[in-house]
Amino acid sequence: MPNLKGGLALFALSSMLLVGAVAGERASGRTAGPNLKVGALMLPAPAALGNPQSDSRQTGTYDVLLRSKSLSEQREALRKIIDDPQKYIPRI
Amino acid sequence: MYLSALVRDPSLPAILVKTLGAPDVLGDCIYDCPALFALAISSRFGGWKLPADLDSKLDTVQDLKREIARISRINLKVGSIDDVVQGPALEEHRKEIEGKTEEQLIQLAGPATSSEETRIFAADRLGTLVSESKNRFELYLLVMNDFEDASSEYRSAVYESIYRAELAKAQGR
Repeated sequence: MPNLKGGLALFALSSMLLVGAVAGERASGRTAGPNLKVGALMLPAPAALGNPQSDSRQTGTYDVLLRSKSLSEQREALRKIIDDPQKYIPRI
Repeated sequence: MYLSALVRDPSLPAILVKTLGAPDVLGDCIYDCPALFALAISSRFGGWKLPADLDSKLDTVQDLKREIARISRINLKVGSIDDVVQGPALEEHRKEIEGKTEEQLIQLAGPATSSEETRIFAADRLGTLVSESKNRFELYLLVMNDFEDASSEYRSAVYESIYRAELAKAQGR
């Protein structure tokens, strides 16, 4: 439990920093890239805190297939879906 | 819809077939369209049976029945691009297409090629050339990256190549 509490606290802190960072970047006209850093702190993804995120990973793979401009990324996403199609039936 | 053709879960055609009377599907399916393609694949290669209670007055239902009948007659004989397209535009692009392998044509028909005409002729050639299933997923990726042309010629040609790849797969090739 202490680890989980610590992780949640870190995530909450990171989220606050992220909101502030995005607001600041919007104000400055820049956009946040995929590997947004705030100072030296790399924001941890929830999965890194031990929370299961299989749903969002499925959504990500599906969306990559539908929307990516990269054929190689689409190919990889298609392979993942074909390898385990039952995960994706609800989205299909 | 293209994924439903690939994945072939038995629940998917039952959902798709209910859309055949929807105005947007009726409009989209004036020419070859994803819904009819996916259902035709499911019927011919996925073991799905056309329900008996479909509204035969719908153009989509008539077209689906025709398409299922047509693809049951497809064979894997390699033809010529001249079997499916003729005219001065083809002559302008013939050198780009002639002598190319299946993989080269897939590359040429793909989104990295800037000329839509070139993509269409490459797809036309694939529709007369594919006789194995080795590039089946690549052909599906082509159609997932299709583009609007006047009469869905590109889409139709890629569908044809996928039908051939699916038939080859069913024959163990």
